[in-house]
Amino acid sequence: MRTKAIATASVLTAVALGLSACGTSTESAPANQAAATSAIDKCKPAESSIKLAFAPQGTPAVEHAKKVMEQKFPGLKIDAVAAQSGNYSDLTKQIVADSAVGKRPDLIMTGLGQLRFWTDTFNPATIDPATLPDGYQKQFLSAGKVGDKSYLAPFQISTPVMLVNKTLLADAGITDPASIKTFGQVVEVAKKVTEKTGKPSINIASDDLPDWFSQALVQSSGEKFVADDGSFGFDTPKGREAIGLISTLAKEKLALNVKMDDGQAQFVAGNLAFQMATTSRIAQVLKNAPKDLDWTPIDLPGLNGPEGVLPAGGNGWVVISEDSCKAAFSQAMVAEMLTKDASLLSSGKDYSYIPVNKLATEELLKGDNIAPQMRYAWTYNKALTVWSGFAGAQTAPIVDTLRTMLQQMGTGKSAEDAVPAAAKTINALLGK
Amino acid sequence: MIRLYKLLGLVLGAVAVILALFPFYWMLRTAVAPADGNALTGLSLIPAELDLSNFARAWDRANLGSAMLNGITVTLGILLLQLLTCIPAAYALARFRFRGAGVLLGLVLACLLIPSQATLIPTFVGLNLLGLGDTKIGLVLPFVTSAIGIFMLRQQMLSIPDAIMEAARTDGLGPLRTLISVVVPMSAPSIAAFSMLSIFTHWNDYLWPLLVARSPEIMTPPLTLAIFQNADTGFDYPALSAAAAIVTAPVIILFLLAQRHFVRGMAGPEVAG
Amino acid sequence: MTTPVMNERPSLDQVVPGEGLAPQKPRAPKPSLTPYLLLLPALLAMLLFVYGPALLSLIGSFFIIPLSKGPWKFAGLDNYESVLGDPLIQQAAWNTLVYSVATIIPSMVLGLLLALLMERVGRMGWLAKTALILPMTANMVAMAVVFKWIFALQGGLANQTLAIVGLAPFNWLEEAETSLPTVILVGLWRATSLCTLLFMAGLTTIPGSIHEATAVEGIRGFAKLRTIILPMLKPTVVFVSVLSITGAAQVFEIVHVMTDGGPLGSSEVAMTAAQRVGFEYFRVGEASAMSFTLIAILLAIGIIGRGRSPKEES
Repeated sequence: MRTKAIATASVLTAVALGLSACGTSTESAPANQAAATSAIDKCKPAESSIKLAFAPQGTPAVEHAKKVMEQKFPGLKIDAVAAQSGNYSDLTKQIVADSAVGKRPDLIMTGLGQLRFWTDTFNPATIDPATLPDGYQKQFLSAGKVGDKSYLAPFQISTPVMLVNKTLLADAGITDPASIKTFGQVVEVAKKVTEKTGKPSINIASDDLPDWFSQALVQSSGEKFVADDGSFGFDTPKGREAIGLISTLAKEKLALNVKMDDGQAQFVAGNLAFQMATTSRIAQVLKNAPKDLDWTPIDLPGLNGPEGVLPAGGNGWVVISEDSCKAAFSQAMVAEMLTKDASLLSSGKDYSYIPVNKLATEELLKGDNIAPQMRYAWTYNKALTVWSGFAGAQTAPIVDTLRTMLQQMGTGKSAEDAVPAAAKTINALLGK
Repeated sequence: MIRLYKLLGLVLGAVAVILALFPFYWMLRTAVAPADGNALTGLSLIPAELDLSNFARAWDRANLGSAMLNGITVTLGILLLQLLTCIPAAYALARFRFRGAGVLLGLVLACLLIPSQATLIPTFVGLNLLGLGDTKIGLVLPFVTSAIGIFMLRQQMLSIPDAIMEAARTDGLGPLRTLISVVVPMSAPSIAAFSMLSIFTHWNDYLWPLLVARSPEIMTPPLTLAIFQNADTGFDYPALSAAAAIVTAPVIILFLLAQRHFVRGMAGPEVAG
Repeated sequence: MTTPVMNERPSLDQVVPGEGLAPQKPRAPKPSLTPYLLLLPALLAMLLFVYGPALLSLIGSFFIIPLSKGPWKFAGLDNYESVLGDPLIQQAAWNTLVYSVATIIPSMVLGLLLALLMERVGRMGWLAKTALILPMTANMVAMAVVFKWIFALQGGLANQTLAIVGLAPFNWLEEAETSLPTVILVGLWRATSLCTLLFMAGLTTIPGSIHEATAVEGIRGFAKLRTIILPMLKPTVVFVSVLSITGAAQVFEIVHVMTDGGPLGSSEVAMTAAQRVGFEYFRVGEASAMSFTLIAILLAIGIIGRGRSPKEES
């Protein structure tokens, strides 16, 4: 028996070493190279199939585009099953796990904040703007660019926004919410509301999208989130002062300091004057809010008033196929998901993303009884920057570092301490 | 003095029962809250109105019908295989003397100490190399045996009186016949208790199915809860609660039906009395 | 079919877990293959699904493993070094220890007390027993979500209850001071249920004759508990300890759903840290090194425990 055990152990070790050897030998230089996209007319649809990976919020548009594609390219197989979770980091985890075992999808949806993760580890194909359909708002492509190349086609996008309760503001003497432009005004108004209600009056969640929220506060104040050399951009006097809003709100005991969902529930219940959010939440707030809740989205204020370009939120499509024909079909599929009809399905009444196709926006605005809040979400047409933009495969640890930074300031630590610490950690992760 | 102890005991017991049950009550309470998204704010203990539509919505959106069927298939598949591997192994470790018995027993018990997370990635990669990723077989296979099962069953089998084993031998029964017609019936309480434990564990398992299951046809019940969470569009709390209640119900019903046997069986030996 | 008759009580050392073969085992007539064949399926499965992958994982812990394909880079002890040197992971290790101590001991004491109490309840006792065991049947992902609402800052039941007593609300899950204690409370809810069940089961093995005998001799209360009940429950205590320690050291779902280790790492435990490093940062080698450190610690506890538990009686 003992010899048997030893034999078994050695077989296992051999298998193990064999596996690791496999890893070393099969792939030599350019690992993960996605294929160049070949001309689609040279590809035979009946011999090809493409596999998609995406979160459930994309399902209606994906199903629509799938039907169109199957008519256009008879015989083409499209394997399009939504992931279970609508969370972008879960989606990334799943795609990486699938790819690790040889089930790499051809076309993936990804949170815009993970663009650099894909471009720096999976070498995706570039997106040719000429293939995009009529009406597509090309200014949004900037959210999917690295350098001057497009790797991602924005699909369901949103922008940072401040939701305000007009009743609470009116009680504090502010009748025109849109007049709130600076962080100073925000603090002042929040103080007045808190004095009246005795409760925290503003929520800027730190845990759901810490990179996006801090980027929004920094860029809205006209500072850079990522410096030109790719390192941490806002460890500057103005940057620290801008993000220091979180610290000020905590010290003055004005901040609620809960997750975005919980803050939203409080906002809907009429307990919160300000809730920082994304425009894609507007539809849900509208659905959940009682009729008598008087609220409106306003442009995100900045340190000295809004003076910068905001980061795009939401998701987009990236082609990571290793086969040139599959890449071509994936590219065609992307175009079908950005048409007017598809855009109505992906961004319409249920989701309140900004429609990426302006024909869809026009159609939506023709409807009756459009809530002004929805109008705000649909008609946003300013340029947007990429979300985050730090290089490399370190997206997740960077997000965690920024979360730590926000949470430290959420307990009253000053930006003068928290920001340099975050800058140091992130620059070390980036090798800067 | 004794009265005081009794009173204290009564209070402790009552508090413990309330605390144990309360979260279940609260789950149901949230599940019948109106689906207007305000479930988090100030729910009263007793609902003013019942909104049962959350259950229907949860059932449809999470495709719970198919998930429940999958859950049953996978859980029972695992149980069956575990019984097939654990009963003979426990029998060997309890009723035979052989070289290496101590080492092998140690090998079995040491499995209890290896966290499943440590074996997760290699098992996952291996299964995929065999083409078993995203299949029900892939959900079942890593759990074909159970160290706890072998341990529990061995305890029970150790207690079977020698006289009975001797009688079986005199009757001319071979080891296999003895196992089937003597040892298994006499270990029934432990087998039942272990079966329940296995069902609870694998019906509720989260981490492994999360990794393996991709297609909706393969999803098991706990995985379906993820569909109600979405960073862009927010949570649907009442539907999530309703789904959680539906997912929890089958094991609780099973437990209520088999409760007495379960407690006794967990004890192992000396249960017939 | 032989009718199950049980007229003999097994001697105590037969029931002691981790014990070798009991002395009065029937002697197999001659060495045979039978026991090996009986063990084969289970052992094969363990080699394939526990020891094999664990070994692969151990090997992996000495490499830097690329994200998808590409060569493995030998890293020596680098992974162990960066894991053990990472302050967040040190914090996770400390938190795991705190969590373990704070759940295991109270849950065992409470479990034993409740089990003793349940022995005395009358007709309606099964209802109470069922209620107490129910938490261990629950799906922890679902329950953790429920607990999250109970401990929500505003409108959460915990704070509403405190408000009745006039206490200010706590931000249970989102303050560094309260997040770990809150997670521990939930862990305790679950663990107490398991301990109660196992002790209830253990108590049923004490024959009625013992109770009669002690009653005749006038031994009762704490004296009876200390001198009679506890020694007889020893095997159960050992079993409960093993399950409690491995369970607590590997706690995952509760933390993952309720706080995901935050804020500021205040509730991070070994397994949430391992899954973060492995599946979010995609540093598979480092995650393997973490898992292995944990296995080594658990094995050490197991070996020490095993060295102490058996044979003390004889």
